[in-house]
Formats: sequence, structure tokens, C-alpha cells
Amino acid sequence: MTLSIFLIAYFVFVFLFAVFSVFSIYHLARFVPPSSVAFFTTYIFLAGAAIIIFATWQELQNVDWTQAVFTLNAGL
Amino acid sequence: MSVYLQKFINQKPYEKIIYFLRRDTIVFILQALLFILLLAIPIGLYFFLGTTFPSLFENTITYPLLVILGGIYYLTVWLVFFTSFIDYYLDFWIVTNDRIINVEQHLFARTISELDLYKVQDITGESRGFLQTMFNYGHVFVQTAGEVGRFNFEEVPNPREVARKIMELTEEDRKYHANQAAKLDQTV
Repeated sequence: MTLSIFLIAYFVFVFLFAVFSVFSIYHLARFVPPSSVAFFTTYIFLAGAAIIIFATWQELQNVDWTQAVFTLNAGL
Repeated sequence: MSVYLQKFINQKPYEKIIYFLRRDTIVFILQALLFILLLAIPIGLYFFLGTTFPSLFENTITYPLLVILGGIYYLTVWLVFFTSFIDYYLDFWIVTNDRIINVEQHLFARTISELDLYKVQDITGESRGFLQTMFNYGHVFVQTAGEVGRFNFEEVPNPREVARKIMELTEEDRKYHANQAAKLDQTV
């Protein structure tokens, strides 16, 4: 099993995060009284999420995802 | 905003909006402080592990794993903070001289309930605990005989003042309805 399994798990999480984010933003856009608060908050939220994902991506750029995490013994 | 509210509650010609209430701002500030603390935890953990187990950050397997876990943690906290803001912002109570409207937002649900003031039986405003007493916010419980048994204004500012005002409005609304009923009897 290679290290990429963690990356796949991370992508699955980011997908779920995106789904819940869209749902939350929809709620805000649909039900909030018209004001700049909704726009500003959504902007801050999306900016924060982008910064977190970008920082994670920056840190993971030089990782070799093909290296093995566990080596299964063929004799078992 | 007021035009939006007028449309939202389908305001009657004789109706006046007396209160538009949300949870007290201090409630949101306390939530924000908690989230700042949660955001600071991995930084503290980074320095702690960096000094006690420096090899964790040099290992080619544990380092990416820790970065991914950190990323997941921050995204989760960020999303929970955003949803808690939405919950704070979209929960509100409107008091008019005719009725009380309660709007509650949950992640997958939105409840809007309404109560005629003349049906109100009892109102209690209370501040419990150090913070609520200190910052003058708390709960207002509106007891009614109707289908919606009890309305709860959660952590609103000046709960006792709000309760007193609603009691006044209830009395006025009862008199108004009694007069209307008397007029109707006279015409019949």
C-alpha cells in the first residue's frame, strides 16, 4: 500500500467539505435578509478555505506518494 | 431590511414591528473565541511534538500524514464555525403588536412558527449564570395554551425588559380582541 491512500482520503474529505460548504452558502443566500453581512461572511469563509487548502497543497508538493506505507509479507 | 421583514412576516396594515431579536452579540463573540482556541491547538501541538519528537517531522511518511490531518482539522473547524455563524444569524424572533414569530435554522431544516399575542398565558425572562448576568442576556419563555406549547427566545439581550414589553403588548392585544368581539356582538 502506497502513501497515496492518505491523499485519496484527503480528496474524499475535501469533496465532502465542498458539498457541505455549498449547502451552507445556499442556506445563507436563500434565507438571509438582504445585507452585506451575508456576502462578506461568505467571502471570508471561501478565502479561509482556499488558504487552508493552498497551504496544505504547498506542504505536500514534494512528497513522494509512491513510497510504501505498509509492506505485506508474501509468506503469510 | 425593514421592507424585507414586512414582506417576510406578511405584515398586516395595523401591525408594528416592536422587536427584531437575535442571540446577543456576546454569544457569537464567545463562539468565535472558542474557535480561535481550536485553531491554535495544532500550532501548540506542532511546537510540542517538534521539541519532544522531532523525527515525526523528518520522516517521509509521518510528515505528510500530519499535514493531511492538520488540513482536515482546520477545514472541519472552519466549516463548523461558518455553520454556527449561519445558525446564529438565521435564528431570530420578531415581536409585533399582534404576534410573535420564531424562525429557527438547523443544518437541514428551517422552522417558522407564529403565536398570536392574545393567546399568551405567561412570560418569564431570565438570566442564568455569571456571563448572562454580567452581559445582561438570557432566555425569554413564552407560555401558551395553543398548539405551540412554549416559545423560547434563546440568549437574547435584555430578557426581563423584553418579557415586560411582551406582557404589555399581550394585555393591549387582549383588550383589542375583546373590543372587536364586543363590536361583532353589537352588529349581530
